[in-house]
Amino acid sequence: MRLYVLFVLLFLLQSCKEPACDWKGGEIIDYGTYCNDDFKIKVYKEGNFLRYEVENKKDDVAIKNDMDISVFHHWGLFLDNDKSVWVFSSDIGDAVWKRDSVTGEYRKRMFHHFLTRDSVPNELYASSLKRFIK
Amino acid sequence: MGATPVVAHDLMSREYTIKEAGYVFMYVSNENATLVDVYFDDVVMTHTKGNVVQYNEYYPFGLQTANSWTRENTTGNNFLGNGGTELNTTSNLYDLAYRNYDPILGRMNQIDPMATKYASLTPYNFSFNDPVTFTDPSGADPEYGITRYTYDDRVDHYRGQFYSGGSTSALRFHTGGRSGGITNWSYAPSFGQLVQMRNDALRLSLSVLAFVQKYRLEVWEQGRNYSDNEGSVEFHHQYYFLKSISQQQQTGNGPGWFDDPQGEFFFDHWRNGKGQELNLNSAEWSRYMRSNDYLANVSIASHLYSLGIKNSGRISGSFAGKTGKDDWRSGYGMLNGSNARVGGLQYAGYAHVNSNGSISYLLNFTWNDIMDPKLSELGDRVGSALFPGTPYTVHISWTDLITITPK
Repeated sequence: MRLYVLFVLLFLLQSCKEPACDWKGGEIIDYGTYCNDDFKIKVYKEGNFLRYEVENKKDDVAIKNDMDISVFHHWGLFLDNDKSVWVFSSDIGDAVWKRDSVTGEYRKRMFHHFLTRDSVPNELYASSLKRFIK
Repeated sequence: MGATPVVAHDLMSREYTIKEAGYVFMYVSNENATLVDVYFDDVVMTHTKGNVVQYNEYYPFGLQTANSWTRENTTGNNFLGNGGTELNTTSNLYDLAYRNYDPILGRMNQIDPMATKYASLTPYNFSFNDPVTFTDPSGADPEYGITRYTYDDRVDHYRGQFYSGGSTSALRFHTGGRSGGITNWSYAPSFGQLVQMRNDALRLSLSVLAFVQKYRLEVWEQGRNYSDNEGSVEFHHQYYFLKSISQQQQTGNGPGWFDDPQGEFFFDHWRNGKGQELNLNSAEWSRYMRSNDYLANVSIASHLYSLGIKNSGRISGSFAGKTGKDDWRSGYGMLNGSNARVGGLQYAGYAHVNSNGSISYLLNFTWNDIMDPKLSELGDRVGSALFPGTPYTVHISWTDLITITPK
């Protein structure tokens, strides 16, 4: 009986947790909340602009969008194996958020040219976001 | 000549005020009725100079009349005419930032860099051939002579718009604030009242300079645009442009989903252009890009303001331009933001620091963008499955004069 109660309690505790964080990383091409052990990525529409927000394990906002990306153009996000977040937009161009190894903060780099296969991770080129790569 | 003079010396003197430039002759004469010897001695002429060193009188187009003069051995002020621009006294041309103006002909010596903006006028015109009302200190774009309208910097920049039409038929007054945000409120006067407001505002702008500094009034009425930009001919220009859009909308073959023919054009090219790159630099496209208030007054102006330029000179660069529209129905909305992949919004030209501290930027712009609409976002309104297309690159070029007045 005692064991049974323990199981019930464990089950209830499990139920109280947020939805399963079983996202494996990779591309994001639709709105929603994407969660894994390291990040929670919220992607949503505000007006006609794309908004994204990346929270770390402590629920601190690590990355917040700073560009007005029109949702009427193709867009896509990608979390690669190095935990960099790539942002693609046919509207205004492409950027990558990379973690600064010293401060731990994420910094954005905007690309002023077409990205090529050599400049993106292999797993990204293998995804549907290949459409943004020249 | 006797040894002793008959009469003692008389000191004779005469003062004369010279009222205009010329020559002075002095002579002495003995006008006695009988023969009397008179001796004149120590004849001296003294010229006491007044405070006036220069006197200029102008014909309307800036040529000085023959009554004009500058005192000899003084440096004349040649910055008096045409809103404080320099008259080159050797060539007799006004030396403007962008062109030379010949006041004898009443014409510029070079073509107007903003010629596409005023297609109905000769590109050599000075102040729209109306030098009483307008002045042209830069040589690029005449301004209203009395008020010298320029829009303020971002902090204090307001431009008002009254417009009617659309689904609400309401009239709204918009003010763009520092952040570029738009606030509005609505009310619905009759068209008669609307014209009255326009006239009132124009009268106000003539009499209250502060009003002109802060506001620009535009009155729209379904495809026609009355813009009393302090009386500038932009009114005619915008009027005809919007009229032509209206005609295209009536006769076009498009589905009628689009707010302007440019939006329809972009969409059609996506469907039928087979990915062909577009270079758009016609006068019509120039006008279209120049007509975007948000682009000129918020996006471009804030970038130029951030450069912190203090001296005249050539400038160039690129940044992320924005049209301030985020829809898919208009050309502005489809452009939305320039694309960094293909160059962003590039500019090159000349910054000129004016005598009043404002800075005029005459710049050639190129908006570089990629058209790759995501039809799934448009949903049922377009019928996404019906319209496959090919992404393409577009470059739009235009020239604009933007003046920023510091606080």
